[in-house]
Amino acid sequence: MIQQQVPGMSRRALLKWLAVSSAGVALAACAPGVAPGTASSAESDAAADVAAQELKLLVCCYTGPETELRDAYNSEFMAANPGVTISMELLPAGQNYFEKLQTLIAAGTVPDLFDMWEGYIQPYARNGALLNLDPLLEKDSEVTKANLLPAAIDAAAYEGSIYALSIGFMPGPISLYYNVAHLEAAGLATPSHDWTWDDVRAAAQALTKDENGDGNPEQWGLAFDLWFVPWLYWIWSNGGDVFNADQTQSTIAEAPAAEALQYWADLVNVDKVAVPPSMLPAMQGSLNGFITGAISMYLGNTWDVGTLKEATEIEWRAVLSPKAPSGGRTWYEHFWCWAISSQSGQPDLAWQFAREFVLQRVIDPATPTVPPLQQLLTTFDTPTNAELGYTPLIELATQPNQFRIPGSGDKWDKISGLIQAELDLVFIGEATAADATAAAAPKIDEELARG
Amino acid sequence: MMTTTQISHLPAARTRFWLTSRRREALMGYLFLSPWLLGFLIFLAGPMVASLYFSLTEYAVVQPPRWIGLGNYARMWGDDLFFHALEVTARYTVVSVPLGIVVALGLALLLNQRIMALGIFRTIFYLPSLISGVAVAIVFAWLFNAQFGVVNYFLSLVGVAGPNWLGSPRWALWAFVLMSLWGVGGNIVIFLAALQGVPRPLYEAAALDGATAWQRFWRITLPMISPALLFTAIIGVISSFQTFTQSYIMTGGGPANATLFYLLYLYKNAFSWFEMGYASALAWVLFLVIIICTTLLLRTSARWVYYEGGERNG
Repeated sequence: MIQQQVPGMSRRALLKWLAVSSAGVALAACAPGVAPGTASSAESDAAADVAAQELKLLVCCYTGPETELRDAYNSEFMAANPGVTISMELLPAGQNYFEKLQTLIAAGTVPDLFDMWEGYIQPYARNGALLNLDPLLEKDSEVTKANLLPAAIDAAAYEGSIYALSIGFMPGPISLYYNVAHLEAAGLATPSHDWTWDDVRAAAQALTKDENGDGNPEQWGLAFDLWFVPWLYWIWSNGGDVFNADQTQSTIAEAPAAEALQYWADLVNVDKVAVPPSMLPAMQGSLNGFITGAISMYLGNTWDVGTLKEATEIEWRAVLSPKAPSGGRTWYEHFWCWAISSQSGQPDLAWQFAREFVLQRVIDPATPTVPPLQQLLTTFDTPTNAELGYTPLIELATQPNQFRIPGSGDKWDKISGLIQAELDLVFIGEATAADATAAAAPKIDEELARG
Repeated sequence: MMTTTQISHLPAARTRFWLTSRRREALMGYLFLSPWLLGFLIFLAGPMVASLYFSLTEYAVVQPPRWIGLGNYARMWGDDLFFHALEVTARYTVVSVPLGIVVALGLALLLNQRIMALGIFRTIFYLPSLISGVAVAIVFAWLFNAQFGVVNYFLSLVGVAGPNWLGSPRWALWAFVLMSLWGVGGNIVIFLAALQGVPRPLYEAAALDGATAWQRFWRITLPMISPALLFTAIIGVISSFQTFTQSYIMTGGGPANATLFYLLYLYKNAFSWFEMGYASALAWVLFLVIIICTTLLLRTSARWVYYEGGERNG
């Protein structure tokens, strides 16, 4: 036999091992995480114990004051429940919350508990994403179906079962905020919750000042954001509706709806006392315009209170938004609620967190909401809420159909966009409300007819 | 470290691997390619196949897809918003792409001079194209502000009352066209390279023959840089058909759907309206539209694109 000297590691072998290693690293990076149930039994027991103690939350559209209140509550909950860790993800206001939620659900990584809004509950429940809360409501001694207000049930129900627990209602646009100094200077009486649209119109005419006559008032009488919340309130308060009773056809082109929309459009285009909605971005929104003193009255929402409380530039007050000339007043029901994921591994812990959050009225100091439970209505009767003009809501909240959602489930987003596109033309004076609603109605019917 | 070993007298076939050296080299090549291949399969090819499948289903994301065949494609023919979004995007493309090319070429011609601090000027013109689309959109929302915006301020200096750019259905799309000029820096760099590749003797010969500056530009410069023009036109068309960030951030598609770009409409279907299946079909139609536009550009290029060193293409 011949003995031969052989190198220990050739360049080719080194390159080969480097290639194999890089491919291995790439594969490892692409490998999915350990799926539930695939770990060894001892590991999975330990993992389950740890997972059972972590409650994941997804919250949308927070404000600074609300976040502080939430953090404080989370700390108290963890202190009262040793071993429980709460991890809360906050998303800013905008349009990406439900996109993110959908993605998390599709990926199977949805949090245990998350914000849910009116209009989304039914489609998410229909698609099996939400836990049916009926069994939990039946076991609970305080938070029961019998104690929930009608509006808390209507907006959260799907096929007779409850799928979300209301934190509170935020009817919108609930308030007519007004600048005290402006009204005093104009010699106007203080608004009341019995004001009608005509009273607001008269006050806005008195408050609008265009001293240099350039068509751009230095002080506007009124402002409102143009989106579906105010225009639903106008339509419903005037006795109209977007859909018929079984939501198979649109009724927006009928007189009560069209007249309501034309009334408010005339405030912009005819009376020229309301800020054209297309000009509001220049003011950074109607709330900001009101805070800076450029606007005397603002048709706003409960969540504006937090920002208004921090504004020191003006002295403001609020009353309930005005009634239609016919006396009707129906608000859009912003329905802020908790929903438990149907994929959650700890529904009881999630329920405990949610029910105590609701019972303790955690975020009310920052964002007043109408309580969803009968026994909590008295908590709404506070000096602060009285100052904001909310006291009549205590009685109104017990009445059906005072707060409404428009219906049509997951189609509402698109339908509201179809209507909005037509109304944009009305509020810049390029179309009448009658023409716009007549143009929108067949498109809405087509959308409703599509399965 | 050297080791010794004994060479066996066994037949070669029983000691060699089945891989020949050629195969081994090929295998190593693929191993090195594997990270990219995996990325391509996982992040591009895979989603494309999935998208094609979803386009044939009714898919709300939060529930499993339901097969409906070509239902989504059939639905498009009756969808007014689909045609409207396509029209908005097409109008934007037809105006912004040629305008962007003209402005970029003009700036490139200016930057192709021998002046002091030329490099600094080139950098200044290129830098804006590097800034994130979201940041640019937010800044331009302020620039086009009807009351406080810089654009209307400059117009007022020449006695023109600026419109409510983003609040008017008539002007909103023009605001986006103007905004598209912000990103001409990339095209400027391409044209600069093309201009510097034009042989100087051509200009000298033309000057000797008495050609004017315009004639030298039209007869020499443009033909010589026509491949770059074709490239920027194709890239511009592809990019403008995928406009999304600006309308999403600045107008949300309004006012009155005046800025409802195709990709924004697709996005709304996918993530707001529980119509991922229909959105997938829209994506494939967009793909076809872009393919058709690109093919048309390439087919017509034979008439006006000059490739140095050979016959005209086609």
